[in-house]
Amino acid sequence: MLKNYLLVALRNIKKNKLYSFINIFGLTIGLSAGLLIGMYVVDELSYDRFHENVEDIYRISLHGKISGQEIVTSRSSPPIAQALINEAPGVEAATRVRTIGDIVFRNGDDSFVEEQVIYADSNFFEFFTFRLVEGDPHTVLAEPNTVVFTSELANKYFPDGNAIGRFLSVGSQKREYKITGIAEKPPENSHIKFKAILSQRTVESEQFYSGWTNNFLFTYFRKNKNTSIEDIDSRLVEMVQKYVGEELQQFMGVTFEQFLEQGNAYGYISYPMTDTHLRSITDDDMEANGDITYVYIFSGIGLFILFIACINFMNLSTARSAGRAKEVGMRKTFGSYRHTLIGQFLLESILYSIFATVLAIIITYLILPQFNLIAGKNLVFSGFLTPSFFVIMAAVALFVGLLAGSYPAFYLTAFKPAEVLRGKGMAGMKSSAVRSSLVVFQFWVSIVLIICTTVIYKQLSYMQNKNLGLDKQNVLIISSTGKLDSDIMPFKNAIESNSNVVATSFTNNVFPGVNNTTVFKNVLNDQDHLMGSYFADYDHADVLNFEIVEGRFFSRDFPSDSLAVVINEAAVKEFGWEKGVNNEILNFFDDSPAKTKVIGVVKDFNFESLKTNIRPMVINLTNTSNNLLVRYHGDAAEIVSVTETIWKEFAPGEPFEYEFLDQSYDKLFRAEQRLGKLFSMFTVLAIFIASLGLFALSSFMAEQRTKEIGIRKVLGASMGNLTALLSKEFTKLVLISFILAVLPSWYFMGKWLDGFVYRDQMGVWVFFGAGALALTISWLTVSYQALKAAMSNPVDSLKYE
Amino acid sequence: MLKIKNLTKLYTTDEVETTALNEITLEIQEGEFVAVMGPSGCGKSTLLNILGLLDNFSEGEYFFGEHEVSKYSERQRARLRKGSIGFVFQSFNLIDELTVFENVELPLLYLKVPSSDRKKRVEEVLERMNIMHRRNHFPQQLSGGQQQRVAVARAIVAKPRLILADEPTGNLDSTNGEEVMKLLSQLNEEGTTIVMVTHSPYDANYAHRIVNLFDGKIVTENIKEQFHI
Repeated sequence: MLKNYLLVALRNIKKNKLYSFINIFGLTIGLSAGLLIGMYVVDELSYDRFHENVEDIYRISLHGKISGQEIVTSRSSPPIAQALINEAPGVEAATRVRTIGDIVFRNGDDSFVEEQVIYADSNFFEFFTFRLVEGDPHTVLAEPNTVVFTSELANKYFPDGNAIGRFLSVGSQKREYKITGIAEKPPENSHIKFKAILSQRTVESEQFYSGWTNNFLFTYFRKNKNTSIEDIDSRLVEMVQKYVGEELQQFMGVTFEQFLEQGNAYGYISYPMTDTHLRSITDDDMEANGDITYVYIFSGIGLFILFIACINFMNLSTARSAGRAKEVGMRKTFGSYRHTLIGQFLLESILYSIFATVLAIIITYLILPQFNLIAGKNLVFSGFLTPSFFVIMAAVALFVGLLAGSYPAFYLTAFKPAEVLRGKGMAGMKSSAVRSSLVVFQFWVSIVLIICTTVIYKQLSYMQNKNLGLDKQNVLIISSTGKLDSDIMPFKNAIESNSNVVATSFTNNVFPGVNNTTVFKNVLNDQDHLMGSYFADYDHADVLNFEIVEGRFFSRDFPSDSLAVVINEAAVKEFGWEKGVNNEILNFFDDSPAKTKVIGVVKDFNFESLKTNIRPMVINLTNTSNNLLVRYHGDAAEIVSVTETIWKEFAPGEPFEYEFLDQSYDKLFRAEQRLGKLFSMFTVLAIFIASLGLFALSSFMAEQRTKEIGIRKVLGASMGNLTALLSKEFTKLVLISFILAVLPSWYFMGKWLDGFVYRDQMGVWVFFGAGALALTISWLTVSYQALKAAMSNPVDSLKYE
Repeated sequence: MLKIKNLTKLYTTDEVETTALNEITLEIQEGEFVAVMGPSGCGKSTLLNILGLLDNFSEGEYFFGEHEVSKYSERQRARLRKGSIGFVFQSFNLIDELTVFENVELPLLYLKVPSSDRKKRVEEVLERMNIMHRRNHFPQQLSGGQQQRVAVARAIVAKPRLILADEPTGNLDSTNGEEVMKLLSQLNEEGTTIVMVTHSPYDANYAHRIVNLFDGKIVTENIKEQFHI
């Protein structure tokens, strides 16, 4: 009997080629989208779970409030790790990681700038489950001036394969490091990524490693299974009172209690390592984190797209029911039970779904590289090919088959043989409330996705084109100018001598972001104010073109400017002044507080993410620094080439590191760009599958109404009349979908936009545009069938009936 | 073998109630060949469908053998159908996706007859219907007469006690029609009870007894001698 069912199914597939193609193709696309999203979600959820005992590993975050400013950071201070071991019972081990970012490695005459370089404690490889190819995990980082390379990096510098024991010089200080271990590349789903690990021993004797208020590295600890995390958190509270309090007393002259009474807060909390990637509450992690909300959203979209494809199957099967009714009637007549017929139809849809699943796996394999580009992932297909993958795919095929086949199976097998054989039972097939509702659902999803995509792109374009308050175009940033030592000013002069260069400026900070947030005091009232702060030279305003609203920028004409600062409008407000200029503030950059005078106020400009308000900021004067900003006109490639030539004259053998300010700002929007691209991709897929279904559905409808069309034509209906007649029903359905789509998308996108301080308005046209687009697509889809039917010879259609 | 008592069938649409069969009482003996005649819409096919347990009736009783079947569930009706009744239709109603062999095999599949047995029986019946050479063809590739022979083969392959034929020659030319009627007649001679709906007095002549329906009522029975063909 099974053979009989399979035969009928296969012959049906062969006989109704268009229908089978649309069904299998639609399901394949739906399943591919579902599979890609599934892989994305699995990858997101698997972050950091490869570590042994990961559920007992926590990271320490700092939550504080100083002078009304909230501080939330995933970094903590160096002494906490040891203090936890000593003073918190139940903490089994602790380790610290400090990111450096880009740094130069030199091997003889070769020098390269390497990313993802970190400092780590000697127990790094015991604490985490990162694998060493060579070297002893207990000792590789035990000594100062030792480094562990990934195999990839080891091969780059030592292609002969003998990296262990070799020396390299690192950083601008050209400190010698010995390679003591080779590590496997960390898994893609690790939030800690590294290419080289320098031993923290090398630097931990430096003074800033001893301060409890210097929060610059990541501290991880592993607790005993029997210890509750609340116990450890309460120990952390005690430690803060004890050690941070001590430093506050020393530097600020207040006790910890007084500090708290002033409305401040300062506390460390433990955050589970497994939540680091998806549920992070900080935005200064080692790499951009994921977001559990997007995991939910994409899972939802994946299921919706799959469901849209299943709906095609349901609709086409039931629309075509006339063709199968006779078979059902006959099978029933010959004694088939209804449940065996249901089984037959389900088997048929499972067969379709198996075909589609196999195709979807192949397609996913082929498009995974493109998907990785869009999603910013490095998913590897072979990594998913585990036995459980095949079990899951088989389950998905079964589930999709059952889901898609269920309605047709029950619908088709409900025919009464006597009615079918009498030619009845066809009446209900022309229009079906269920089928209409399913079409409405398909277009509802499509319209919601169109609206979401449009809003995301609108917001993205708003942020990218927003007047930031500084001119980010045509600014080249040359990094590591500190290496030039005494040649640093001649280098600047040489660059400026080029006719395409408008101005240059040294700064220790590259926007967006500000590399130091610290306490300043109003001289008059001794109150603390936490502000962003960086150093720049006299020409800074000429390069960035920001607006001075009060006073002036630093000038070489005023020698006293060495003790002056320029602040932004937010800082004036923070200090509670009406005017900024001529006020005095204290900074604590050196051992003793220094008094500086405000000489100018710059109009607030966005130096950080557009998701946050502009913070108070202080610009301090320096003559030289590690980055040179170059404002130029003309061709970008040309300016790179010119400046690189000059760099090579001044720093032969040193790599030329540069980026453009606008691109640097664009990094802020990468998450939104990615989101936009993913949404567009899935929107196009959803619309495509829905249209595919509509196309087939309309062809069946046109077929069923052939006689009606013929009669109408004989009576004088124009082609326009007939096209309108056939499009009317679908138009109604799309309009209903549109009405249903407006409210949820307005609500959810409103919520999403609430995450941005600088947000665009959604605009009514977004909604109407989405509705119009869906309507146009559906008209185009249906009109083909309508035109075909309308253009046929009426006699043929009458004869046909 | 079949006994119906005061059987009524009503069709109810939104506002209209139509009486398709009006208090019909009829008995058919084992081995009989009965023709049901009457004008279009008189309820012939409805009666046949009810006899074949394909349709329910509104009032009355129906005994299939010893069993009163009016309260039978769909499952019980299906069981009775597949074991005891064969159907032949005017429009053949072969499944287009199945070959001749597979179409004929279908009733045996539902009866769970073992494969080797099935093959033997299907081949036997195809030989008998003289359609064996077409065993691997699909219905659309056959002439009307051939299709109806396949339909008859399908109806008899399970060796039913009863064959219900609804205008079996309606879509056939006279030669093919004659052939089908001879087949039915032959089957009846071998002991199969046959109830046939027909418009054709000529075909009706093959039957032992003719039941004439008009407006859902039996107006005459046993009127065969009226036709002198």
